[in-house]
Amino acid sequence: MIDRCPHHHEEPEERLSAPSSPSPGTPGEGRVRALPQQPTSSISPTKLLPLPYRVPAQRDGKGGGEGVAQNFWRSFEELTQSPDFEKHLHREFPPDASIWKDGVTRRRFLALMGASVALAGLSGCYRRPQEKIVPYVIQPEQLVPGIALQYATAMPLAGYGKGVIVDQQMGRAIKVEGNPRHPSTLGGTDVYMQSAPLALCDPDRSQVPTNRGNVATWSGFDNEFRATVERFGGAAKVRLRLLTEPVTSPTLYAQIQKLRKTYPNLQWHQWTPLSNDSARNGLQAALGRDASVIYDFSKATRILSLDSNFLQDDPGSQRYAMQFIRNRTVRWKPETMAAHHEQARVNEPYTVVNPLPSPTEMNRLYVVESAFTISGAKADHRLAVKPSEVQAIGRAIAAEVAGTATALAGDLQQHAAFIRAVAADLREHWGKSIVIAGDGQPASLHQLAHTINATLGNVGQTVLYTEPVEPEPVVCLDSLRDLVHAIHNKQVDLLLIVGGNPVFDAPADLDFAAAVETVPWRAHLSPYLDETSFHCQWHLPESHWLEMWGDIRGHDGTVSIIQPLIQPLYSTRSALELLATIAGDGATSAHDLVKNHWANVWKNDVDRRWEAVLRAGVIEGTAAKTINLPAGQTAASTQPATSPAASPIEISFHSDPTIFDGRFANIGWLQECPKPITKLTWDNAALMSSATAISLGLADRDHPELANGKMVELKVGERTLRMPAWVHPGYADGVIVAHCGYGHTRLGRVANGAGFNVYSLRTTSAMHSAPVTVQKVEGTYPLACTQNHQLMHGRDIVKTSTIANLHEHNAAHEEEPIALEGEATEHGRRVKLSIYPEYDYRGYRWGMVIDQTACIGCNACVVACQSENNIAVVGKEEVMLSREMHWLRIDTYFSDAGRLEDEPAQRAAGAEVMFQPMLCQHCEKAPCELVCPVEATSHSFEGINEMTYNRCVGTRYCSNNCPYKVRRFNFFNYSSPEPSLAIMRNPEVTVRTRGVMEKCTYCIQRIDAERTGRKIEQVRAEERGEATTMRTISADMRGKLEELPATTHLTACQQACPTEAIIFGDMNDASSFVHRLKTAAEYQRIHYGVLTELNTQPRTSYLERLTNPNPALKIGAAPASPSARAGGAA
Amino acid sequence: MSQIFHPAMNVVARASIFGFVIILIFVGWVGATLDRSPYFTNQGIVKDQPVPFSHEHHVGGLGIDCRYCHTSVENSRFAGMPPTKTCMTCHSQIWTNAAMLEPVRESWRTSQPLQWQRVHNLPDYCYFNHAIHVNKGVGCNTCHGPVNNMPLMYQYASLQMRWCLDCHREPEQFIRPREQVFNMNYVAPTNQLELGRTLVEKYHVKKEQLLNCSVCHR
Repeated sequence: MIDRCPHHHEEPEERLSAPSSPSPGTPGEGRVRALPQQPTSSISPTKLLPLPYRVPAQRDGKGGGEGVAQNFWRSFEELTQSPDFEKHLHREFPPDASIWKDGVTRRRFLALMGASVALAGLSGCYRRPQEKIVPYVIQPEQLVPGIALQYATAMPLAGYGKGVIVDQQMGRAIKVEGNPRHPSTLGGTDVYMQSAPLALCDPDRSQVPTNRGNVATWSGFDNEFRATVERFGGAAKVRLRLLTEPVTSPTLYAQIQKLRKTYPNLQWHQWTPLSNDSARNGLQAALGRDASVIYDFSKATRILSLDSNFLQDDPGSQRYAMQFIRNRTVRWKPETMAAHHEQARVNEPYTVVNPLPSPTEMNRLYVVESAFTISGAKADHRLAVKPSEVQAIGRAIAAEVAGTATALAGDLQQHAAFIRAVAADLREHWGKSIVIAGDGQPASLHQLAHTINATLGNVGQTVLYTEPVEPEPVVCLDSLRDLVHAIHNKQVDLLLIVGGNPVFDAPADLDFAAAVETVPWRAHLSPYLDETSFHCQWHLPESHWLEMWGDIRGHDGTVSIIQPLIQPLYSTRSALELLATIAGDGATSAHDLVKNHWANVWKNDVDRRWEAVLRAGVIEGTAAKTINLPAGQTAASTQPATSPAASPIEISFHSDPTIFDGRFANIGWLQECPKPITKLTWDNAALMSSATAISLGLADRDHPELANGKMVELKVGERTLRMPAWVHPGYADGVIVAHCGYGHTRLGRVANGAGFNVYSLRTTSAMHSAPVTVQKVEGTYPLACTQNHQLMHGRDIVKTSTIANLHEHNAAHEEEPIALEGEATEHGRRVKLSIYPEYDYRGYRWGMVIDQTACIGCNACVVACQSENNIAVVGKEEVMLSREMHWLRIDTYFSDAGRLEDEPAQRAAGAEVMFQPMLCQHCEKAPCELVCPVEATSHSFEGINEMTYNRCVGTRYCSNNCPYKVRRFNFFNYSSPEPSLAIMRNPEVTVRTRGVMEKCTYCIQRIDAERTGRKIEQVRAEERGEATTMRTISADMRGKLEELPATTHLTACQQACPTEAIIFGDMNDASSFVHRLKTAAEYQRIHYGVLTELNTQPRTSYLERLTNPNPALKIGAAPASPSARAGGAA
Repeated sequence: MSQIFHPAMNVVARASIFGFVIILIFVGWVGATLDRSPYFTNQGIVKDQPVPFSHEHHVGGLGIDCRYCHTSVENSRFAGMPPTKTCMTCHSQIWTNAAMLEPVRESWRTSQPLQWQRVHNLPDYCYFNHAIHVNKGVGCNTCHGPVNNMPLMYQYASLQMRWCLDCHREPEQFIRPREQVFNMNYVAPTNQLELGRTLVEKYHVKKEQLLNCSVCHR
């Protein structure tokens, strides 16, 4: 570290100047980057492992002699060095995690030990239960027991589809992957897609129709429906209302059209709580017609997001994320790894197009936002403001861009530098920028964004307008309001709610629950017997999308066929089947309905096209048509700004990053998945800045973290909600951010009672933000946050630098020696100095590189790992004891925005966020291996640190000795014995029991399948005298490495990643991308290993996080606003 | 103070010390023997099956190839159990009235599968792969024994880990030419070791890797 840290000599001074910093050597040093250590011997660890040259982490505009270093920290506890935190730091698990505390005498202890030793021997002596083999009567074609089949289908989410490929083992859906052919995902996934196997097998899913709370049958429902229609005057007269989620499915829409013919008085409403109403209205205002907009981030070099979380919340987010990142980091051809994966089968190696982008090529993202989203985390410049301030900033930027700027209003003066720099930067990139507004902002801002895009010539380049994707687009809020009015006016006889949970998530002032009770006859189709079902006479269980036929459009209108992986597990129907039944098509299967619909479209060659479409997962040529706008149309008159009312404190409502709008609240994987940035699990909280918390009297200035978990009462209009506070870096002062979807009362065992129902504060006049009064109330609430778990004691772990710095320091250091993991080099010479055993890797040699520039912190890999590796959910109480079982976690680090002597609130105000996926590093010299008394963890001949569960006796020595804190221990039998969950488990991975250590295996089951398959192919090919595709061996290694077949498989996390931040492969294969990244000189400037000073020689290495800040803007200029200081002084 | 223990206690003490050691050894021996016995390993035990299927008749007598029924043995970790349809390819024509075959016909009529008692049962944490073994020259009867002479199927080997390791340590002792894998009457040549070494080389068997834990456990 010494040679890599140009400002290291400043650090002792800065420590002296910092009043609160402890003397070196106290435990407190873990708080900041470790002090430069004096080499204790002539061979210092850093000399042993001369890591590639490091660019100064210090950023432009932050240097100087002020003693400001780039400090990284993970939480307020760490920042303020709270004494509890110091205690916590020295234990991997909190004290409660020890099973025996006090009160066990020595005698009792010995007695217990004696008994357990005796019983331990006996536990191996049991007769295995007799098993049965049940073969098919007629085995389905193509099905080979033990080999997974893949089916292309699509996941519907709030009306839009995302293409997936699902692995099926003997009829069980095991794992969901992205479909590279689908335009909305490009092969990427998100947490919702990954959690589908659990959603399908959720034991709380409703299994039979219920009639007024009693178990009923579908035929009973059909009969009663017909009878009720007759009672209200027959099909021609009955006033039937249909409430669905937004519909894009062509077949479903056709059914609704048919229904309208059968029931002439039918009215159709669409509702989803986190709709894009304002985007639709803004677009309508800008273009004068209904349209949809899609963005092409692959052509955009400057992006301005006005409160938009386009990396997560858009139906096309995975595509946008991929395109955005491809313009930001190492680029190669084919454009995506998924495409490479397909091409690799015909042996087309990677071509690196651009090892590192130049500062002009690399895109730059400006984010103005009210919450702290992952888009904000990836921003080069982020401005945290109140929701009501976004509009004014947007207008000021628009005026600057158009050249009509006048003097900035008083409030905007503090952002003047930002506004001018952004506008100038956008103007310089005419036709190559994007301005995108968020769904939480009013329509007028959306219209403004379209106007700016038109002014900048982006329309037709990066911003494309298409015909609306939905066949009948509506403004959801108006649609629901109409329905409630109609109910109040007694105009509704029958109400059929298909999907959604409006009683739970409708605006509170509509009082949907009371309204729906007054409808004479009502039924609700949903996967759970939820709040809405409770208020309807009939609850109808809905099929999961993995068990139904259907079709759906993606973000750009491309249609995918939804095909089932399994027969419905329970007595359920899909929306299509339900509507077909009441439209009189009940005898036709859903498969036939969908196929007939497309047969009518295609006219000829139907069977062949149907087969092809099912294989591909998308119907080519069904994307919405682009609208060619006459020039200048979008620059039409702008409607007056309608900002949300400004107020000292504003609340901003957002979709939850793990349970979405609440529909996934019963999925344990998603509840336990730490939310990006906050790392909260199992709950939501009122997120606020530390200055806000201090001004509310929740905490004092030295320890803002004391506010965490304290209850506050939020009052919006007349409605109040009590929920716990949570202080968080990077939030604007005077903003409370609340995630919707929590606080269910009747969804399932996992969802009920978790979190607080923020929908109860939302009203039709304040759907996205509102003025709020906050009051401290008595009481605290325990929140399970994983941010301080598995800390690495403040060592030099994350690295970041600017692309400009990187290129500046490029030339001088090109002849740095290159070290592959496993080889320490000194002056270009191989040296091996370790007491650990040496291995000679002549075969495969697996390795991984994680690109921190590309990681957007979306958690898809975390849930993918959980799904692939049968990782258990432990529950909130266990998470609070640091016992979560995730093999892969996303560590979040904050960079200091202030100086050491500043108050915590100031240092946190403009903090930047860095994501670092952390998993077993598969060290070459693994500290865990040597301490295992039973050799349950060992080193394989391909370099993998293996974990053998059946050998493990649970001493936990390995975990104690692991510097990366990536090993997980089964304190209890976490894997639920629930029978329905058994069918979702991956049969290729052991389900662990109590007392066993576990950790990342690099997906050894996938490696094994690949290796086995390739070797069988090889032997067969040789027998036939044919050639197999062999891996490439570089000239210097020829003769030293074995000739082996080339491999192309991906790990689960790698396959799930929407931005391809994780790269895995055979390091001995010279054509593999992982080999290139680890050896080629052009990457050594940003390639590093974590904690390599311990000489663990990790096999997983990292690429530094690169940013491209605007030289015209000083870092940290935006935050630390006057209000922060005012708040701090209050 | 008088002597607490009578001198005769010396004998008792010695006897009990040695006796305790002997008892320990005996208990250990009993445990180890039990653990290796068919009581736990199921080696050589015939199980009641719904149909008394005779491999001796079908394989030894009629000469049906293993792969006729165990179709996926060359491609999957699971060798595959024949669906009822496979039985009915012949038995819809011959022995159509045999009482013994009634469960098969019933399965065919009612579409309810036959439920066989599993004979070779590995613990769930062991991942054995048939495909790689038969493709690299491990014969069926190396592990399953003389199936062609088994009127009723039983487990030939102990299936304990030490038995697996015998071959994983020295595959050259057991490996045979690929074309002989399904030959039930194959007899290892006298120069097996020599031939085995050539085949290990030819089939790219990585001996050192065969001892990695993750080859079988994951």
